[in-house]
Amino acid sequence: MIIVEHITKKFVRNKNKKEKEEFSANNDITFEANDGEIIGILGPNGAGKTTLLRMIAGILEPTHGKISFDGMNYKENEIKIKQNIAYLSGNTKIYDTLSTYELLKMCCDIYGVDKENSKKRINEIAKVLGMEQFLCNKIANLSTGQTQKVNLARCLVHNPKYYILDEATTGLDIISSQIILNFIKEERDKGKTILYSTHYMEEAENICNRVIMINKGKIIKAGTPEEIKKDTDTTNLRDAFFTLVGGVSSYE
Amino acid sequence: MDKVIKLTKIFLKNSFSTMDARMGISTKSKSKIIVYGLLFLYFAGLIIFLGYNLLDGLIAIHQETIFVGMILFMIFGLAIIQTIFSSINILYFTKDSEYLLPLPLKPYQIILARTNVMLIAEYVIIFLIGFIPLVMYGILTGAGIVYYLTMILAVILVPILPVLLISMIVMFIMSFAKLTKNRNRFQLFATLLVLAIIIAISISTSGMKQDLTNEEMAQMVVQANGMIELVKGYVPTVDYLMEALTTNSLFTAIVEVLKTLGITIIGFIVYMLIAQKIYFKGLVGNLFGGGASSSNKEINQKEYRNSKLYKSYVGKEFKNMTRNPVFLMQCLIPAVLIPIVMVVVVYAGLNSDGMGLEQITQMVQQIPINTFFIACIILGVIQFFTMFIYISITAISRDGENAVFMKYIPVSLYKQYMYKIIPNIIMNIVTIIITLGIAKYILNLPVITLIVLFIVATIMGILQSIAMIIVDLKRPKLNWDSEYAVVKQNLNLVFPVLLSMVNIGILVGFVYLLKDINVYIGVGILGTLYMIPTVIINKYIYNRQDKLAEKII
Amino acid sequence: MIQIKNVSKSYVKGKKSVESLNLEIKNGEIFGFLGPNGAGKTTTIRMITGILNIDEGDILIDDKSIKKEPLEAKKNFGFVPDSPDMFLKLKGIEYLMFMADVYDVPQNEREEKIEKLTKKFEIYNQLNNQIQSYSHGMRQKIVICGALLSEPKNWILDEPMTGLDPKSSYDLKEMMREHAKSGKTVFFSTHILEVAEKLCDRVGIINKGKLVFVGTFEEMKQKFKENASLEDLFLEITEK
Repeated sequence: MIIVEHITKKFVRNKNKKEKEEFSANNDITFEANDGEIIGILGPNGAGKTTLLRMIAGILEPTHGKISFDGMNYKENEIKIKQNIAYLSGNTKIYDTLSTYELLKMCCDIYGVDKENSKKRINEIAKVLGMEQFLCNKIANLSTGQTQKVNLARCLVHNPKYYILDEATTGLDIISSQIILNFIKEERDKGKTILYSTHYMEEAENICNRVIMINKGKIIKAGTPEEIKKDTDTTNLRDAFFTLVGGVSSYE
Repeated sequence: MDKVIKLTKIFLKNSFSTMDARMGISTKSKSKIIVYGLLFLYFAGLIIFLGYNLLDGLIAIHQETIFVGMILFMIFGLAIIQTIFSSINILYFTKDSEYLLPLPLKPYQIILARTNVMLIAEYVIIFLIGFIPLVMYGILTGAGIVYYLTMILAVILVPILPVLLISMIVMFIMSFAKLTKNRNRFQLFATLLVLAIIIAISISTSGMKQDLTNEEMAQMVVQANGMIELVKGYVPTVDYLMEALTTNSLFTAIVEVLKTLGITIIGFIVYMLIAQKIYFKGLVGNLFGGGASSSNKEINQKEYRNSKLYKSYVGKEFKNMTRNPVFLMQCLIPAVLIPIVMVVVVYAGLNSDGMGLEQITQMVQQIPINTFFIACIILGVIQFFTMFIYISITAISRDGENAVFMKYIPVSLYKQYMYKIIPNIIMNIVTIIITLGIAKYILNLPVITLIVLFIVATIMGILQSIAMIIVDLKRPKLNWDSEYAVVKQNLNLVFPVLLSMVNIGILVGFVYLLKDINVYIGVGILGTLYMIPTVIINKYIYNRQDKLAEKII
Repeated sequence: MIQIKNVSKSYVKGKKSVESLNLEIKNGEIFGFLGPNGAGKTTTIRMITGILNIDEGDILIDDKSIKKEPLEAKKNFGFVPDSPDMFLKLKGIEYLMFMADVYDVPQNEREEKIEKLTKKFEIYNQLNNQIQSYSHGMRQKIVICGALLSEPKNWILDEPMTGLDPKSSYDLKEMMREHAKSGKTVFFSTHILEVAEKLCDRVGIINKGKLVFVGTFEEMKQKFKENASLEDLFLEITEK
C-alpha cells in the first residue's frame, strides 16, 4: 500500500529575464493506493502528473508532505523501498549499445539478483512480454514497441511490489500496448500496487480500479471510473475529463 | 564495490561505443581502428621526437630533472582541461540519470562510477603525453626498477586530484545554477579559456629558437626551474612525486609516494563527502527543475515581415549555427579566429627574435612582393585557414533526423543545397578578407593584386564549399543526440583537410612550373583552372540532386 | 485527393516493405491509416511525401505525380512528421515565418493566420521562445501549425495525436473535420482505434506491407465478427 499525504512540490522558475516566481507543480495531494489496485493518474499536459510520480519514485523530494510504502518512508528505508519499486517513464532508449539481454542482466546485477535466478527471471519476463526474438538484438536497432517492452522489462527483474508507470503505452500500437496492459492487470491480481498515468481515457477506464484527475497541480476529482461518470453525468471518462478540466464538451 | 564496477563498465561501454552502434557499423570498425591506430602512432611519434630533443638538450647540461617536473605538470594541466570539458556532460547530461535515480543504489556508488569514467578517459591521453616521455626519461638516464615503479604510480596518481577538484567546482556551480542553458555557456566559456591558454602558450614559447646554445639553454632552464618551483607550492603531489622520481634513495622515494598517496586519499574522502551532499541536488534540479518560463505576449510586428526564400533559408542556417555553441565554435568562429591567431603567433615569434613590425615590413619589402610566388603563398595560407570551416561538410548532418524536412517541402533540392553552402562561402570570404587585410598591412600589396587574389580565393572557396556538401550528402551522420558527434566523431572532417592539402600541392606545383610568370597572368590561369571543376561539380549536383539525397531518410 | 497507384517499395532486395498498394483518398474525406508498428505505415507516408523514392507505381496528389512533378505535388500537401523535434534552435515565430516563406504565404495573411492557429492550440504566448524550451505536446502543436499555415488542400499527418492531451487532440480532430467538410482531404496514420472509429470516413489497414482492408468502420465490423471489440477486430485482421 502506498500512502501519499499532503504532497506539495514547489519550483522556482524565471518569470522573465529578471524576476523569478515560485509555482507549485503539485499542491496538497493526498491519496492512497491499496494492494491489488491500479490507480490511474489523469490530467492535461503540464498538470503535474509526472512530477507527482517522480516524487513517489524517490527521484524528487517533495517540498512538504509524506509518502509511505507499507509504513516505510524514504528518509529511513530508501534502499529498501527502491528495491521494491518499478519506475517507468516515457519511451526512451538508454544504453542502446547493449543487447536486450545484456541490459536486463545489468539490471539484475544492480538489484542484486543472483546469477541463477537472474537467468531464469529474464527468460520468464521475455516470455510474458513476448521479447524472445529480440533478446540478442542491440537496443539501438529495436522498434518503438520493442523498446518500450525492454523499458518495462528492465524495471521488473527484481519482482517489484510497487509499480509507478508514467505513460507506459504512449506511441505503441494496439498489439504492443495490449500485451503491456494485460501484464499490468495480471500483476494487480497478484496483489501488487500500481500507479498508472496516461492520456488515453479509454485505457484508464478499462484497467483502473480508481482514477485521480489532476489539473494545475491539484486533485480535482478522485474515485472509481463509475463514480466519476455518475458525478459528472457523463457516459465515458473522456467526457468526464472535459467536464472537469473544462474547455470543450463532447462532440458526440 | 561490485555494483560500482558494474556501473563503471556500463557507462564506459555506453560512452565509447555510442556512435558506432547507432550507425549500425560493425564491418567498418576495422578501418576505424586503423585510422585511430594511425593517429595514435602519429602522436606517439611526435611526442617521442619532441621529447627526445628536449631531453637530450637537458641531459647535456645536467638539468634533466626539470623534464620530470614538466611532464608531471603537463599531466596535471591536461587533466584539468579535459575534465572541464567532460565533467559537465558525464555528470549532468547523460540520458540515463532519470533511470538510475530510482534504482536501489547508494549515492556514492553512482558518483564513484561517474568519476571512474572521467578518470579512465583521462588515462588514455595521459598514456601518450605522460607515460611515453617518462619511460623515455628512464631509458636515457638509465634508471632502475624503482624509478619505473614510482613512475607508474605517479602517472596513476597525478590526474586524480585535478579530476576531483574540477568535478567538485562543476558540482558547486550546478547546485545553484539550475538552467540547462548553463551547459552551453559553460562549454563556450571553457572553450574560450582553453583557446586563450593555447594562444598564451604559443606566444610565450614561440620565442624559443631551434638551435640553442648551451648558454641560452641554461638561461631557459633557470627560467623553467623558477616556474616549476613557483607552481610546485600549490600542487604538493607533483612536488612529492618529482622528488620521488629523481631521488637515488629508495627510502625517500617510498616516503614521497606515500605522502602523495595520503594527500590523494584525503582529497578523495573530501570529494566523496561533498559530492554526496551536493551532486544529486544539482542533478535533480537540472533534470526536472523549472519548466518553461512564462513569456511576454507581444510579438514584434517586424517578425511578420516576409522575405525571399533564399534569405529566409540562409538565415535559418545561420541561426541554427549561432545559437548552438558547438556549431558556433566549429563552423563560424574559426573563420575569424584562425587567421588572427595564426598571425599573432607568427608575429610574436618573429618579434621575440628582436624584430619589430617595422623591421619586418621593411625586410619583406626588399624582396619583390608583387610576384606570382607571393600570391601563391597567400592563396596557400588562405587554403590552410579555410579548411577549418566546417559548415558545408556538416550542412546535412547538422539537421540530424530533421534533415528529411528538405525532401517534403516544395523547394528543389538543388536550391536547398545551394542555400546550405552559402554560409560556407560567406565565412570563406570573411577569412579571405581578413587574410588579405593582414597581407596588405604587412606586404603593402597593390590593390589590384588584392582584388585578383580575392576573386581567385573566392572561386577556390566556392569549389571547397560545393565539393564538401557532396561528401556530407554521401555520408551523412543523421542519428546523433549530441552536437559533438557531428563535429568531433565525424571522419568526414578529413575531407576538407585533404582538399586543402591537394590545393596547396597544386599551388606549389604552379610556383615551381611558372616561377617567373607575371602575377596577374599566373593568378588568372589559376582562377580559370579552378573555375572548371567548380562548374563541373555544380553541374553534377544539379543533375543528380535527387539521387544525392538518397541517404537522407 | 491522393491516389496511390500500385506502389511497391523494398529496402532489401527481394523483401518488399510495401507491396502493390492501391488507395484513393477522395476530396472531403478523412482517411485513417492503421496498422501495427513496422507494418509499412511510415514507409507509405514517406513515399507519398517524396522522402522515399517509389520503386514501382506512382502517387498523385491532386493529379500531380510526386515522381514526375515533385515540386508541384509537394505544394499540394502539408505534412506533419511523427517526431516533432524540429528546428529546436528557432523561436516559434521564426519557424512559422520560415514555413510561410517556404510555402509562399502572402504577407498580409500571415499575422492573422498565425494568430488564429496558435491561439487555437494555446501556444501563441510561447511564440517568442525557442522551440527547444517547448514540451513534447507543444512541439507537436507548433509543427502542426507550420504545416497548416499555407492552407494546403491535402493534410498528411503521421501519428498526430501522440503526446497530445485530450483537449488538444480534440481541437485537432475538430480542425480535421472542418477541413474535410470544406471538400479537402485528410490522410493520417494512427494506432488508436477509437480515434479512427469516431473520426474517419474510411480506414485502411496495412499489415506486413500489404493493404488488408479498406472501407468504412461499419463495413469492417460487418466483414468480420459482429459486435467484436475493436481490439479483437484489429488483431484478427492483422494476424491473418
